[in-house]
Amino acid sequence: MSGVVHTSTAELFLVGQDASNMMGNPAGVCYPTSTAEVQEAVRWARSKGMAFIARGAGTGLAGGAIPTAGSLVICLTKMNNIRSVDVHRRAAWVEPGVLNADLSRHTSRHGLHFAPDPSSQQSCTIGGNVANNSGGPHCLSEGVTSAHILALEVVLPSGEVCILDAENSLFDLRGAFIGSEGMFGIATAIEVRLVQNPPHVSTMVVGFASVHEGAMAVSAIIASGIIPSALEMMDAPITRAVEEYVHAGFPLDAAAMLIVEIDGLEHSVSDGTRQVKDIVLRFGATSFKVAQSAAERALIWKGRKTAFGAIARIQPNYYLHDTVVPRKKLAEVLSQVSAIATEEQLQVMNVFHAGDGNLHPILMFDKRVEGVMDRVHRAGSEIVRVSLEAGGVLSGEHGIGLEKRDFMRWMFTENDLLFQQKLRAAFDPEGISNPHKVLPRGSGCADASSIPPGSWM
Amino acid sequence: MLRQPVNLGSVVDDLQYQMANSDVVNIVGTNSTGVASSSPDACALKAPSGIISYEPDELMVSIFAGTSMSEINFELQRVRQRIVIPEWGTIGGAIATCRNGLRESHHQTLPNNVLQCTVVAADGSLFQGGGQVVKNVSGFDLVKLLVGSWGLLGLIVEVTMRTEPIPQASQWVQSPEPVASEQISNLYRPAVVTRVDGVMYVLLEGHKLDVEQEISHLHGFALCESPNFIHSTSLTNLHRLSQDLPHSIEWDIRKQFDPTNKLNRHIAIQRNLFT
Repeated sequence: MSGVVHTSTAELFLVGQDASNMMGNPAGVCYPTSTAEVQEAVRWARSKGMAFIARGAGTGLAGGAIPTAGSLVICLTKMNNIRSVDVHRRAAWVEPGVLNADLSRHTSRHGLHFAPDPSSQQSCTIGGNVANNSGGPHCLSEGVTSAHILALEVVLPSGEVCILDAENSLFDLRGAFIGSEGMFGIATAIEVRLVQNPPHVSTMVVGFASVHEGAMAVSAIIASGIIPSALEMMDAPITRAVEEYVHAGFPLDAAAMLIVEIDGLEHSVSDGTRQVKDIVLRFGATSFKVAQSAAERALIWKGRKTAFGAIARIQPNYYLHDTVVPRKKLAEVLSQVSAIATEEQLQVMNVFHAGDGNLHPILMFDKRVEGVMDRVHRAGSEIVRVSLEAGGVLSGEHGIGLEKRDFMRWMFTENDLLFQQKLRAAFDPEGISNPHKVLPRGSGCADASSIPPGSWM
Repeated sequence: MLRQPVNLGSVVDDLQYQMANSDVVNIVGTNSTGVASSSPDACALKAPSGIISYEPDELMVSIFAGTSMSEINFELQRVRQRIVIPEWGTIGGAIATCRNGLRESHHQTLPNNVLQCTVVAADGSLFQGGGQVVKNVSGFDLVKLLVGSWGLLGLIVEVTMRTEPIPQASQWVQSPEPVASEQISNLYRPAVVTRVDGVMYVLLEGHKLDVEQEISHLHGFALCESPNFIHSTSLTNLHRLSQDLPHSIEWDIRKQFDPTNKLNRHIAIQRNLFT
């Protein structure tokens, strides 16, 4: 291979991990700069009988980017060009290593942005967004990544390059590829849809005396027919931690606060703001504030999106969960989560996409304490269990990866999983593209035989 | 804690039995697309109809796939909600053919609003993709694969759809004259922009005053009724033929899902997916 495969211990250590608590042991890493080089890397790995794994910024939380032992990491961070922006069609072709926030910064001069806005948007890549079908606060009204990808140029596990878009195939292969966590091949160029920046934005911060009242208000807002552009909840512990860190003016006396944002044309925003105010007051809001300037709004979002940084001031380690429940079950499941944490003697904080029912309980701990990881994992699986029992799903935006792979049988039947495996097999019959993720072992998954022995799992 | 298979009642049990015991199956709805063919040797299977559960507050409805769009939207309209799919045929047919209508705005396009599908597979087994929540990245996206799959991968028997509030105001405008593109690009997220036979049609939706204000910025446009041409767009999906590489993936998917070429042979042959 003309490109270099790096094998230094330090480099392999870096690409052996992502933002989860897991660690992999790859055989090598390369940094292609073009589609042809990605193709070459895939072909090289195949010729050596190696599995390969695409990697962006490594911000994933479910271990989807943890390489299996002996695999080749194909790191795409050097493919970070915005190839073209078509202002008229409101679309852009970008390479997978482009950072999410850089894309929107780049297109802001045209009054356009890329809608998915995960909290990691300053460091996560568009390629990673495609692999995980990423969300973010504003996906409540805008939809998740899948709604914003028009076409993909993909290097298949066979080494062939193809375009997946609406024109080229009968089946929606583009849609099937998005969220496949790197197991269907590697996206080497991505045509994204850009959306118009809203002319009017109203960002409200609302305090409540209880989490329950806040959760009830969330359901009532959605039920009223308003679709806010974002509807986020933070409980008191995380609000206090963030406020000390960011000074966003969050209500410190509230047990829970909501960030409600409405955007669009003038009258829908002003009427919507009035309606939201009426609803939250009816549900016992103790404070209500509307951001008066763009700077104030930016500070609120900074507070929301840097919440995880604030946690480091409380405990050295945290485990961030991600499940989705029907919105009407929010209050009930939140109290169950709190009871689970108490049972396992762990601190828990909640900062999450309430409007989608997408929970993100954060368990905080010091991993130097003996036995604490067992308690963290026990609590985690209980949180998954109560979410599924409430009619929810395993993950809203972090994906399955390794973290939730073995929970898949809690949500899907063997036959459901068999058909997911059939789809995988059509893209990657040999199971060499990011093997061993997502599908639990024994679900007709053919990956096991195709990777070198000594897998860490 | 193992997930138990869903039970959708004896009608679906019967469909599973018939599917398992037929060599050739045609999936039929109301034939609103005009492409259903009737091979004499084929067993015609039709999804059951009826609304299973509707939770307006959750903006979500579960429906047997054979339910007509007009019945669904009649129910939804009672609480001022809707599913934006052209008002003919069945919901299952709309999903199988990706009958999107002309909506530009992504959150109104069909694939993003299908949350869950339950399918009778070619072997008669039942499988589900997706989940009954609005946001879900659990496992591979079988729902996206099924939308627009023309019955080649299984018989969709049940779907859970996201519903949306009906906007306060909804107004079509048209211009027979060529329109400066800035006029259109200055509009904020119009619901539909399309040109048919030289006539430009735009649909604006939202707050009544906002819609009025947007219309006041347009020059050379006149208010009009919802145009009928939307009916003619449903066949376009089938006729966009694949010639390229992904074809081999489509071929493999079809082979994985229907190894004996049981389902909708006339479409498989037409699409060169007869494996």
